[in-house]
Amino acid sequence: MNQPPVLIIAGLIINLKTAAFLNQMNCSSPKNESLLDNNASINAAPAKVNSPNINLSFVDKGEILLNAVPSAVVYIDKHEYLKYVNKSFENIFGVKAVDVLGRSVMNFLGHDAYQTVKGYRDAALAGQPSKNELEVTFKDGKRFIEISYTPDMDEQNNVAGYIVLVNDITAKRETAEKLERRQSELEDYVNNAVVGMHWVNADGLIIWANQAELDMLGYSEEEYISHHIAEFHSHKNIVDDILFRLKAKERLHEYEAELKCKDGKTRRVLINSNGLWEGDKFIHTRCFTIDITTRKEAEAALQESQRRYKQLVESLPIALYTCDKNGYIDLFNKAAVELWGREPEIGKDRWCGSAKIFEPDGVTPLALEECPMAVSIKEGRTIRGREIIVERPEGQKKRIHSYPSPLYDSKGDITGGVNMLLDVTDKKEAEDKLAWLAAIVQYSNDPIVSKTLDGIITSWNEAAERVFGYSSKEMVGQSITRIIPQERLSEETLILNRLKKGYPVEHFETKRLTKNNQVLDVSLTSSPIKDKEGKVIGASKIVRDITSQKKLYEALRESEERLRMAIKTTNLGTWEYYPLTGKLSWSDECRKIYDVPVDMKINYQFFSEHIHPDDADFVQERIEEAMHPDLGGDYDLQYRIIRYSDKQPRWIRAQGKIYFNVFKQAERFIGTVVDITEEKEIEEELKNNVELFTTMADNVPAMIWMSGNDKYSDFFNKTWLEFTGRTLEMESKEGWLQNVHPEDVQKCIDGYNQAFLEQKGYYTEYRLRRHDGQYRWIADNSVPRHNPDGSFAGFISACIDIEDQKKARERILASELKLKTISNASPVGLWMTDANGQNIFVNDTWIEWTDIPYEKQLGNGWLSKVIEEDRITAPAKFRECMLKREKYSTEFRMERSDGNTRWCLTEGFPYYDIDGEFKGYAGSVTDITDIKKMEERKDDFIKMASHELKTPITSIKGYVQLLMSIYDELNEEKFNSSRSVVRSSLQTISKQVGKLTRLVSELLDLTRIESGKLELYKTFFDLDSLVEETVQDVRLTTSRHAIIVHNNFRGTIYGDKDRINQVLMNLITNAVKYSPDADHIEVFVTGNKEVVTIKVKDRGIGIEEKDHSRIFERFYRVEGKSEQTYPGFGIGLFIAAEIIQRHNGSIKVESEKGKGSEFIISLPVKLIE
Amino acid sequence: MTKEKILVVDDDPDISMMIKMMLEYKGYSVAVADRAEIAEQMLPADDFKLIIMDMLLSGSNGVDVCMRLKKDGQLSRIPIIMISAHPNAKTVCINAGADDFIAKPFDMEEMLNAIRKFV
Repeated sequence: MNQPPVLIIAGLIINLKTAAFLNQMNCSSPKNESLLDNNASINAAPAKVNSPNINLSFVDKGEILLNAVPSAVVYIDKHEYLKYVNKSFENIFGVKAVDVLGRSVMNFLGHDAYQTVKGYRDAALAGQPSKNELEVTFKDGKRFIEISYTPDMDEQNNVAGYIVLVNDITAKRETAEKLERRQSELEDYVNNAVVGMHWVNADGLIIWANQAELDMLGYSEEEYISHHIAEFHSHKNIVDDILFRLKAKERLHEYEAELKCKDGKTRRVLINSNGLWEGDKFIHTRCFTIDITTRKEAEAALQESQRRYKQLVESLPIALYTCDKNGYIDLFNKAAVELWGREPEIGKDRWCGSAKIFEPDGVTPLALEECPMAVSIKEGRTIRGREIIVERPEGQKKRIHSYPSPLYDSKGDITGGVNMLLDVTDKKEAEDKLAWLAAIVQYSNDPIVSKTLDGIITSWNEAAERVFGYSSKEMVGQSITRIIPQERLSEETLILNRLKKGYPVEHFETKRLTKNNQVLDVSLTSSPIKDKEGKVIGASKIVRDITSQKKLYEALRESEERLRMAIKTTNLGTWEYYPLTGKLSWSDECRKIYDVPVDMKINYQFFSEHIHPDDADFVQERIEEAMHPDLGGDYDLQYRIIRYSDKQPRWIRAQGKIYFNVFKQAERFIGTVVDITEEKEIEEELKNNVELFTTMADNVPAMIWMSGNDKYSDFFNKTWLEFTGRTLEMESKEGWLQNVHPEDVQKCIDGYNQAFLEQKGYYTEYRLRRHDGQYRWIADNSVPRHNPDGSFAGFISACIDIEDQKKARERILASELKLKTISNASPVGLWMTDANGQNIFVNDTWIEWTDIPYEKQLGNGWLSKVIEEDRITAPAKFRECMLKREKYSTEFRMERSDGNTRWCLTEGFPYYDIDGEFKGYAGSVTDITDIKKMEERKDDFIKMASHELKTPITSIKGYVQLLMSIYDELNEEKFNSSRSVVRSSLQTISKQVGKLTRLVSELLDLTRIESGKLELYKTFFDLDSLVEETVQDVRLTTSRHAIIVHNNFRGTIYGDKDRINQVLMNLITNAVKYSPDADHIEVFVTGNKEVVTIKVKDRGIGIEEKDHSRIFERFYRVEGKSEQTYPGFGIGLFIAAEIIQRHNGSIKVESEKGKGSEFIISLPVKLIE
Repeated sequence: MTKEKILVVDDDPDISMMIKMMLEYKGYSVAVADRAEIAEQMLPADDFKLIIMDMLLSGSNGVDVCMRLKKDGQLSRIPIIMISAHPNAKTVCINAGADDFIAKPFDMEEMLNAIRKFV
């Protein structure tokens, strides 16, 4: 005989044969029949007709159960024919049972769908149940279904067919997907935030860091996480301070620190952090690190460049200073201070570092407002070498050449000027003296001769030519003895010896010979010529006719020697030009400057041709000017020449004097020339550098302002001005404050004043109005400036628009908070791994479940609370899924913080970055303990239901067959003797039928409750008589227990009388059942106008407190050895509680193990609308 | 003719009484035990030809008892028919050494046929 098919519906097993029996039982009860009327349609269920293999009578009643379940249920026999479908099946698949029953599965599903499920079918037919999820396209779109196959085994363990359950899990799947998306969003925000984040625990260990932070510093997670934060700080005192502050519950805002990168570099960061506290327990910090290295580097670079140029300027040997456009000196170097003999006061001195200046004559005062610098700035032109005299504080006068040049900003507006000063005092004096001496020598009426110590003539003036008749050419290089008479030669030896010793020979009267052998009476004054070291290198000699002016000659002779010496010892070239004759003579130095051979003939044409073409007109013009007799005949020019040898342009300075004859004609030019190329180059370089600085300042992305030691800001670079859309004039002094947000003005002023007072750098942020009227947050980082002597010179600051950064930061913080809140509010545990499968994130829910601090959750730490058997399998399954990038889903058990073992279901999916690169898994953990427990309890219930139902049936069946056997007995005597057997059999049958009826009622009640169809038929009834009737009924079934009623309530209540009766019956029979050793049960009824309370008290085995609340749960049975023997479904109290609740009443238990129980029902007396 | 003695072990008296009445009517001598411990005490004291035992006894499990008896030199010779309402119990019982298995509820003929194989 075949084992009847078993249908599993929401955990309920109905043995079909049993159900068939129930059918008969229920049919005999009119009360239950009326319930069936509500489902009258089942009578027309086609299954009745089309499933000959199934007990038809079962179907009628089983339909109630089957149609109540939301799952589609289909029974398919082993030949693949659909034998039964329920209502949900019809709804889900949109078919009518009549149309599908008897059809083959393949015919119903079509070829393609059939292929999909073939595998499940094969498994089911092999006795293997299966459960799978499929995506199916229905008429109304795609749905996810869960399809489970359960083989139906017959008694010989052969497969008779199989049952398919189909659940629509689309909503569940969508929720899971939504959760997953949330998770990946959180990941995105956290990791792709431009802001680095790390968490540090109370021990200073980094317990988590996001990708941005790792990227910023270049570490891998292993190298960073779990390390001490101090390892990554450049300054130990900073990290100590940070931790100290955080532990003091201080919140860090933009705390600046320096972090070490993997490559050895450092990053400057702003740290925003606060500690996470649980009560007084410090859990960890959450640090946001904003990389400001670039900003800092830009600032440092700016300072560096500033410093470099300053150094350059300061180290220049040439005096140099700058003024702003109002003439205030703002920068000057040491050379300038040395020249001026004083240090100008920044912000006070204007135009020039000397207060007293004069025209080149040294006496005519020159107003400061008209000094070359002032002219240059006001007229916007470069002046090359304007000569002025400055008077130093101690009275010394300096002759200087001034080379001022205006400075422009990028718009071409003058912002000030730079002036280079050349001290020409000494040079000028030497030049003057030389010119003067030369003139004296040349135009002296006394012959002046210089000679070496060997008596070789080195110079021979015009007067000498005139007096002695020899030309200079004839005599220079010749011995002086040529003009000494024979008898006087010994004198000369004496003179030379005296001169060699450094003594002059004065007014020595002797005789000399002219070219034409005329003897002259002369008075000689001869002086030794000494070099710088004082060594006598030659002698000068003034020869004077005794009758002539002796003294003048002496002086002349002396001067001439000095001049020669001066010329020799400098690089000064000298020249002479006679425009009337065209004669031009150049000194050797001159030739050296032009680099022409000594023997090459030089004329005026050569001179003209070698002036640089660009300067030729200018030189010509100036010379012509100078040749005008009324203009004094002096000139001093700087221009370029083309050097003869290599054709290179060279800068020279040429000074000249023009002598006029009586006809006011320029008769003679004499002058000097000096190569000043190098000086010029330095000057050019300097000028370029100044321009470069300005260009740089204007082109740095930062907005730069500079203030002087007067506190006022007077420099704003192009970037600043473009930002504010204002001019330098508007911004200068305190003008810039007009653009600061009114709320921030005071902060700016206070901060600046404080910094100014302390002369220390400071950082501040404020809102500054942009040209478009929008206020933007600005990070202003000021550093003090110092003069070369170390004195404070004001501030220079680099400002950066951090509006976007700030906004972004706020946005990130807000969304991070939002997502974190979402994550932590999630009722399921959430987790994330990196690409190596190491845990990198868990939410608070999970932390709470495990009671493992966050930092210990990371990596594999979360596993520590997973019970040992699952600690290997869960990660193994994960690795397997990760290799295939598949959905990860597994169940594991975990020791919860309260010591309970909980079943967890975890599911995760891989996630990828925007480049599609695998980054890890994100998933959730659901506590499925209750579901698991419920499943276990259902299994137990099924076993029990099977046993409980089968036992009376076995008994009834046995007796009935025994009775039939007796009835069929042919032996009359034996038949009669069996009378007692018949009676006892019928009694037992009756008892067993009653028991079955109760069980079936409970089962049906359970089904009604689960499908929401338990209906109450309320009437007013007398509680007193109901209690009495119920107790009477129970008394009939127990002989051992006395049931004592204490009733002090008289009246009617409104409710379903039968149901209340059922509850009371259940409670009292339970009391009897669970107090086998007691002899009485007490029932108390008390009440007032509002509420009535019924108490059923036994002195039985009692219930442990942990079970008090659970005994009213479905399928719940108190576990324990002794309880196993009590028959029943374990659903009586569940049904009782449901009935009482539907009456708006309450039910509870008070009990102590081993001492008995008290079940207390409270019901409202009044009709509750 | 002496009546063959059969021991029925079931914790549900309704079942054991039913079997007792049925078998006595059919001419067997039937003893009943509602717990395994009692059955194990009764067995050596009498000459039982067959044991009919429920699989899920309270207290000692019927399967365990069956296994124990089948290891006992003397008692292992007594055939055991296991009965159960559990649908998949047959394999378990046969594996435990039971000589036959009958599922509850059973037909009287089915029970008598099984008994006749051993007694």
